Amino acid sequence: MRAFDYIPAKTVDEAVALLAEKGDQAKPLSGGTDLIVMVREGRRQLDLMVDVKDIPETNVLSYSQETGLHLGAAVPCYQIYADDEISAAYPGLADAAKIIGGTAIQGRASVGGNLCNASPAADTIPPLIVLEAVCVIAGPNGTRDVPAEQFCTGPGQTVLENGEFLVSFKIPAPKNNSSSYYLRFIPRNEMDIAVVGAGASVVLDTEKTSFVSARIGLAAVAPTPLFAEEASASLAGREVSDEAVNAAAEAARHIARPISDMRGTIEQRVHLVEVLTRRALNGAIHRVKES
Amino acid sequence: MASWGEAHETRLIGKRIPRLSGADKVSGKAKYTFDINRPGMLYGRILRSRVAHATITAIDLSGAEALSGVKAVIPLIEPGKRLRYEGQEIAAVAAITDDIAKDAVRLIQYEIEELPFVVDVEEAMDESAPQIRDDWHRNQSQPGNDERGNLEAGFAEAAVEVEATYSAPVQTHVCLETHGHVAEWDGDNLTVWASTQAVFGTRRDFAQHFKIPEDKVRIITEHMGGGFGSKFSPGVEGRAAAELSRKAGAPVKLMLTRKDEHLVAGNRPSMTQRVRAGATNDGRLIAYDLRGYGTGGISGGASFTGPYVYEVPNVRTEKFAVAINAGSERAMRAPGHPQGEFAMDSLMDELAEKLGMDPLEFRRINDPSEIRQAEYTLGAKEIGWHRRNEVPGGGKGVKKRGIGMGSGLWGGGGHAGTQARVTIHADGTVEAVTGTQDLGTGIRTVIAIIVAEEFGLQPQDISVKIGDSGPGLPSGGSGGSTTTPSVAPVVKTAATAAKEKLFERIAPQFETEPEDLRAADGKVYAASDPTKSVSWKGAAGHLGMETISGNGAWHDGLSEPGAAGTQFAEVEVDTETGEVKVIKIAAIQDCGLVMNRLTCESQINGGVIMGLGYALLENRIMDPLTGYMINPNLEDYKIVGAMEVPEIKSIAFDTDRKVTGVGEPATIPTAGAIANAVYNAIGVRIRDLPITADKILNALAENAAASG
Repeated sequence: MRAFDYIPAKTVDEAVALLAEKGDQAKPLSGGTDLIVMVREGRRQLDLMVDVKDIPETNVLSYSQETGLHLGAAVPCYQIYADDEISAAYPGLADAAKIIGGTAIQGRASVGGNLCNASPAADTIPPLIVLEAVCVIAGPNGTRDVPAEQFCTGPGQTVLENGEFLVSFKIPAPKNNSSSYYLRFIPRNEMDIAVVGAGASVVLDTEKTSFVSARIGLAAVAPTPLFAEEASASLAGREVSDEAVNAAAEAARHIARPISDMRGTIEQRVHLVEVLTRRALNGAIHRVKES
Repeated sequence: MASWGEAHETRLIGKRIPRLSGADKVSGKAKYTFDINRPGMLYGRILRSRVAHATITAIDLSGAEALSGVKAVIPLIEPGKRLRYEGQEIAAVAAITDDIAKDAVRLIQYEIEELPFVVDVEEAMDESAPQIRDDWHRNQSQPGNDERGNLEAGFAEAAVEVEATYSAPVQTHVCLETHGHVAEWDGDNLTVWASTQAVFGTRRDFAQHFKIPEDKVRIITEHMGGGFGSKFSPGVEGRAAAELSRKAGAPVKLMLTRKDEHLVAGNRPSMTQRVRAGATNDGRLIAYDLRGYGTGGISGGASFTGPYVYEVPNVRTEKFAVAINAGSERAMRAPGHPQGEFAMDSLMDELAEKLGMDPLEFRRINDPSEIRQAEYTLGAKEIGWHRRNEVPGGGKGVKKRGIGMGSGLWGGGGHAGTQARVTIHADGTVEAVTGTQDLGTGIRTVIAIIVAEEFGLQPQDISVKIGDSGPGLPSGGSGGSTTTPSVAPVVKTAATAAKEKLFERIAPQFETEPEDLRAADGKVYAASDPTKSVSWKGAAGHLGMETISGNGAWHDGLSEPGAAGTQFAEVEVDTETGEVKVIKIAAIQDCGLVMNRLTCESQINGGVIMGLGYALLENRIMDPLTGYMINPNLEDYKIVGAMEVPEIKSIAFDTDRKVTGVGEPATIPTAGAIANAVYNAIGVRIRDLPITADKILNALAENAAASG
C-alpha cells in the first residue's frame, strides 16, 4: 500500500480546495467501507484522502412533510433506518440502508458513499432514483444539482469533476398515497452483493385503485444503475392490477443489459429484473394500501 | 475390565456440559496462534507465484534485504524449478512490521519463463492440453478399479435402470483461523505456537526438517480456529517461519492471508461421475457401474466413495484423479464421502422413482445397517416424512416445499498412541495432562468430564493441560474423528489408576481396605460405612508432601469404529428466483457412546452447516484464461452465514457404551438430503453441486419447455 496523506476538512470550501489541488489523485473519504478496502488492496492509488465527514453540511439529516428530506452525504445508513419518521416516509430507502453489509458496516457506510462508489450493484441507488433524489455537488465553481439517475456514468465512474464532491441529497416530500420498496436477489440472505436489485415508488389516487405515477430503478443489470423510464411511465393513469404491474415488469426487463460473471448470468439477471420489479411494485402498492 | 458403565450410572458422561473454554472464547480471552505476540517478534510474509505454470529462472532477494526494517529473507524455491500453480511459494521475508514485510515482498525480483497451463478438469484430460505432470498420461492418474459380482447378470436382472452424471466442485476448508505459526529459537531449542490439529506430528516435522532431536522442539496449541483436515503439518509456511526466525535471531509470526488459504492450504477435490445402476422390481439394488474422476489440483488423491452405504452385489468402478494447475488437495472433513454421498443418494431417489417406490422404503431394503434402520424411523418422524410431495413438484404456489434424505457412514474409533497422566495434589487439585489438541471439538471438556466422573468432582474442578508437547505425553493428530475415542480410554485409565493409588494411600485413615473406598459428590467415603466420609480435599490432604499420579494406557474395550448417520431435509424453493431456503435438517447421528451431549450436538450442527454450504453455496472458481482462482476471499467464495442456518434437530443417537467419534460423519449426508428435497419440491433434479438459483431457473425453464 502506497503512503498517502489524510486531511480531515472542516468546511465545504476547504474540502473543495484540497480536492482541486490534487485532482484525480485525491478522493473524499466518508465511511470508507469501499475506499479504504480498495486502497489497501491496491485497486486504487491515492496521494490524498480528504475526510469530509466532519463537515456540517455532509452530516445534515432533516425531514419535514413540507420540504422533504435533506440527507448529508456522510450520514451512515443506520441513521436512516433507525429514524422512524424517515423510514415511514421513504421505506424504499430504509429497505436498502438496512441490507448494506452488516450492522457494523451500517454504522459507517453512507448513502452518499454508496452512490459515489458507483457500483452498478449499489443497493441505495435504485431507491434514490425512484424517490427522485437530487444530488447536491460542491466544486470550485460553486454547487450544482444532478438527479440521482444521472449521477453514475459507468462502473466506478460519476459526473464528479476534479475538485467536486457530493455534499448532500434533497429528496422531495412523499406525496399522498405514495410509498416505495427495494429488494434484491443475493445468493445468501445477507452480506452479499446484489445479483439484481429493483426499487419502485408508486403514487396512487385517493381510492388507491389507480396509479397516478410510478418510478422503477434497477441495479446490477447495466454499467450503471438504471431508471426504467418507459416501464415507469406505462403505469401512470392505469388501474392497479396484476396486468399493469406485469406489463411494467416486462418493460423493465427490456432495458436490462447485464453481463455474465461469477455472481450471475445474463439470462438469470434478465429474468430476475422482471420478477423483482414485479415484487418491488407490489411491495410499494401493498405499503400504500396498508397505510 | 474397564468399562464406561451403564448410562443410568454415569453422572457427567453423556450429559450436557458447557465447554470449559467457552467463556474465554466468546470474550476474546482465549489466545489463538494469531494472538501470540513475543518480545521482539518479527512479521513474516511470503512471495507467491502470480502465474499458474512457469519455470523460475532467477531470484534476487537483494532489494528486499536492503529495505530498512527487514531482518531476514529466504528463498523457498530454487531457480530451474517449476511453479505449478498460482500461489506457490517463491520466497519469504521477516520484518519489524507487517507493512514492511509486505513492501519487502514486492521488492523481491524474479524471472520466469511462462509455461502453458490448464485449470479446467475436462480440458486437462484432452490430448491437446499441456502435460503438467511428468508421471501421468494426459494429466490422469492410474485409475483405481474395483469389480465384484457379475455386472452383466446384474443388469439383466434389473427391472429399472438409471444412468446419470453427478458432479461437485472443489471446496476449500475455510478454517476461520488461517494456517500459521509463531516460531522462536532459544539456542538449539525451537518453540512454535502453531494452529495445528497434530501437536506431536508437527513437532516431529520440525525436528526432521531442522535435523534436531524431537525433545528440542516444543509445539503449543492452546486454542485453534479449525483445521478440518488441512492442518496436520507445518507446511511450507511453518517451516519458513522457523527458518526466518533462526536467520533473524528473533521470533517470527507468519499467518496465511485468506487468499493464501484458498490457494495453497488444501481443498476437497472435485467429483464427476458417470454412473449406471439398476434395481429389481422388489427394490433391490442389483448392479452399479461407475466411471469417475476428480481433481485435487497438482496432486492426486481425488477419490470418492461409490457405491456408498447401500449394498450392491454386482459392481464395477473406475476412479482416477486429474491434475490441473491449482493448489493440492488435503484431507477435508470425511474425505471422499460427501462427494460420494451426494451422487449415491441422488441416484437412490432416481431409482426409487422409476420403481414407483417410496425412497425411504427403497433405502430400508438396501441398507444393511441396523443402526441406520432405527435412525430412519426417528428421522422420518422428526421431519414429517409423510408430508412430502407424492408427486415431486406437485405443490402449489410460487414457493414450493420438498423433503428429502441422505445417509452416511464413517469409521472413527480410537487407536493406541496417546499417553496421559492424571495427578492428584495434596490440596485436592487435579491435573489431567496429555498431548492432544482441541481443534474446536471440545476434547478439553471431555477430558475433564471423564476425570471428574471418576473422582466424583465437577468438570471445572479438573485442570486440563493439552495442546502442548512440553510435558512429553504424546497423542495422535485429530483426524478421522479419532480424537475422543483415542484419548478418552487413556484418560479414563489414568484417572482410575490415580484414584486407586489415592485409595491405597488413604485407606488406613478410613480403617478399611482400598477396594471399600468410593469417590462421589465431592467426597471420599467407605462403602461399608458411609459415615466414614471426608471431602475430596480432606482426602487428598492425607497426601502431605506427596502427589499421586496415574498414567493411562490404551484399552481396546472402550472405543470402536463405525458411525452410521442419516439426515432429512425440508426445503422451500422460490420458483421465480430459484432461491433455495433450507427450512429444517433433522440429523440423526450415531457416534457410539456420547461423552458430552452438548459438544456432540454442536459437532453435528457444524457438520450440517458445512454440508449445507457444500450443497448450495461453495465453489472454487478457476479462470481458464488466467489460471487464477477468481474468488479467493469470503465475499465471492460463499460459505454459510448465520442467516442460512435452518432449524437443525441434531440427535446424537446412543447405540452402545463405546466411544466412536463424530467430527466428520455429520457433514456427509447433508448435500444428498438437500438435493433430494429440492427435487421433491420442484420436480426437477440438479445433479451438479452447488445447487444455485441459476441452475434451478434453467432446469425449471427446460422442464417447462419440454412439457410444452
